[in-house]
Amino acid sequence: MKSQFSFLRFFKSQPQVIPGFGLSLGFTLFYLALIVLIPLAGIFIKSSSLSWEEIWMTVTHPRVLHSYKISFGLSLLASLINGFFGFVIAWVLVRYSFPGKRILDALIDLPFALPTAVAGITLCSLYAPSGWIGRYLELLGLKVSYTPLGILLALIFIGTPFVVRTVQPVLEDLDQEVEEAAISLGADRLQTFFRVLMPPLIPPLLTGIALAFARAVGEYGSVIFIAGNMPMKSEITPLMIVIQLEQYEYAKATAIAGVMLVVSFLILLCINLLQSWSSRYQRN
Amino acid sequence: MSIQVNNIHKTFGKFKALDQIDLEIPSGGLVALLGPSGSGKTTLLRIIAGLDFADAGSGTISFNGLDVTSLAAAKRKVGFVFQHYALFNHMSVFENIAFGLRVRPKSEQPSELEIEERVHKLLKLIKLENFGKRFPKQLSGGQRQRIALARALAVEPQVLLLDEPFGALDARVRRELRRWLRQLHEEIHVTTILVTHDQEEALEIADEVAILNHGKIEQRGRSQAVYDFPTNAFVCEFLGDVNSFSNEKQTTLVRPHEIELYRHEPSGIEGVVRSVNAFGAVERIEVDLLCEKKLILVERSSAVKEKHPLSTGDLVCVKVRKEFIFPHA
Repeated sequence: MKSQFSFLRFFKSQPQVIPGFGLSLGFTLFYLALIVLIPLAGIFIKSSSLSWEEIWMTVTHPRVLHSYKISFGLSLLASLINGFFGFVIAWVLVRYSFPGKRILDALIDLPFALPTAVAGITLCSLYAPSGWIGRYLELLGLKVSYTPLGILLALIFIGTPFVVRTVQPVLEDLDQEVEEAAISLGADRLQTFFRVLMPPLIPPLLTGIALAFARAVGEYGSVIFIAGNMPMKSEITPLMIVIQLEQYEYAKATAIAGVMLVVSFLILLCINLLQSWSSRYQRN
Repeated sequence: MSIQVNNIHKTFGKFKALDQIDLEIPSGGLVALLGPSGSGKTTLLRIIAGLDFADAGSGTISFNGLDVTSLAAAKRKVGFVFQHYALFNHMSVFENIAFGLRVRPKSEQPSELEIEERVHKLLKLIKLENFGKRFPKQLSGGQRQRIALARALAVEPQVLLLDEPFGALDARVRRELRRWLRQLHEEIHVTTILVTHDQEEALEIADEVAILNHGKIEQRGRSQAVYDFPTNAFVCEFLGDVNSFSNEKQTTLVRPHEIELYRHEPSGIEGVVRSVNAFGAVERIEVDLLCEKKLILVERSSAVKEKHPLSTGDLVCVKVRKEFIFPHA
C-alpha cells in the first residue's frame, strides 16, 4: 500500500529539475504501445481463436519441436561465436592503427545493409558442393550448404556487427592510465587483461550478444536459401510459421510465433539480468 | 632507495621533451619536480616508473645504483599515483588496494588473512576504515586519491611516484591532503617524487625541489634556498608573484612583500594607490608609479596595515627592501 502511494506521488508532486518528464514518458508509452505492444498482442489474440488443444498440437508438432532446437540452439551458438570474434575485431579496431583500418571499420556494417536474401544466396552458392569454398570443404568431408552448419554460418554473418558496435565505444573509453596502474602494480599482460580490461567490457559484450541473438532468432531471408529446409533436419521456426501462413492457417502461425516470442523474451531477460549484475559497480 | 637519473633525453617527433636530465634523489627524500605544463616533468616521472622509455642511446635510470633502464615497469617495484586516480572501477575499494598483492606469482602471494590485514592497515592509514566494501564511483575525489595512494603503497614500493596527485581536487581538499601526505611521508619514509605545477604545493611538501622548463632542470635545491636565491628570472617568476622591471641590460624582479610604502617621505619613488584589497593576513595594494607608467603589486602584513592605513587615491613613496637582478645573456 505504501509503495503504491509513493509511486503515485512520484508522478504527481515531486518537483522535477529536467523538464518534459510527463510529456516524454507519455509519448514513449504511446509510441511503444502503437509500434510494439499492439502488434504483439495481436499475435496472442489471433491465436486465441484456437482451442487450447489445437494450440498445443500445433506448437508441439514434432517438426515444430525440432525447428525450435534448430532456431534457438543455432541462434545462441551463433551469437556466442559472434561474441568472441566480434570482441576480437573490436579489440583490433580500437587498440591498433594500421593502413586500411577505416575501410575495415566500414566493412563491419555491411551485413546490416545487404538485403538478407542476397546474403543467403551468396553464402549458399559459395558453400555449395560446387561453390568456390564448398568444393574444398567437400574434400574434407564437410557439408555446409543445406545443413544446420549452413544455417549457423548465415546467422553468424548477419549478427557480426552487433558485438563489434557495442564493445567498440566502451573499449575506446577505457582509460590507458588504468592499464598502466595495473602494470606498475606488478600485473603481467594476462592479469591486466582479465582482471582490469575485461570486466568493464562484459556488459557491452552481453548486450551485443543479446542483440545478435534476437536478430538471429527472427532471421528468415538469409537462412532460407542456405538451410535446405529438410523436415526434422534443417527447418527453422520462422519457416514453420511461413508454412502455416501458406496454408491460410493464420491462427496456427500466430501460435508458433507466440512460443517464439515468449522463449526469446525469457532468454533476453536472462541476458539482461546477467548484464545488469555484471555492471553493478556502476551504480551509486 | 635512492634514485639516479643520468643524462636522460626524450624526444617526441621534433619536440624535445627532456634534454639531458641529471638528477639524484636521496633515499627517503621527498623531492618535487616543479614546472609549467609541457616542461617535461610528467615525462620524466613516467620514464622513472618505466611507463615510458628514454630515447635510444641516452643515459640510465638507477635505483640504489642498480641500473633499471631496461627493466619493465611491472618489475621496478614502483608505486605510481595518477592525477585522475586510475582506480579499477569494477573492484571494491578493498580489492583495489589488494590488487598488487593478488597479482603476485603464487609462491610470493600472501595468504588471504595477510592480505586482509595489510589492506585494513592501509585503510586505517588513509582514514577510510569503513570504506572497504564501497566502489570507487561512490567516493569523492579526495577519497579516491587516497585509495590510489594506498593501492600503490600496498606492494611496499621502493619508490613512490606521484603525478600531480592533487591536481583534480578542489582547493580545500588539496591543502588537507598536502599536509596529510607530508605527515605520511614522515611516518613511512619511502623515497618520493612529486610532480606538480603548483609552486606552493611543492614548497610546502617537499624537502627539495627541482624546477623544470623546456625539458631542462633550471634549478635544484632545498625549497627555502630556491625561493630565496633563484638562479634565473624564470625560477624567480615561477615561484611566486613578482614585479618585473627590465631594460636592455637586465631584468629586475621584486616580490610584492619586499616593497614598503610610506605616506610622508620626501625621497623615493612616488606613486598613487589604485586599489586596496584587504582580506585575511595580507593586504594587497596596487600602486601606480608616477615616474614610469607602471602598476606594481605590494603586499603588507596586517600589523603594518593597522599602523599605516592606506586607501585608494593616496599619494605614497615606494621603497624596495630586496630585489633580484638578472643580467640578460
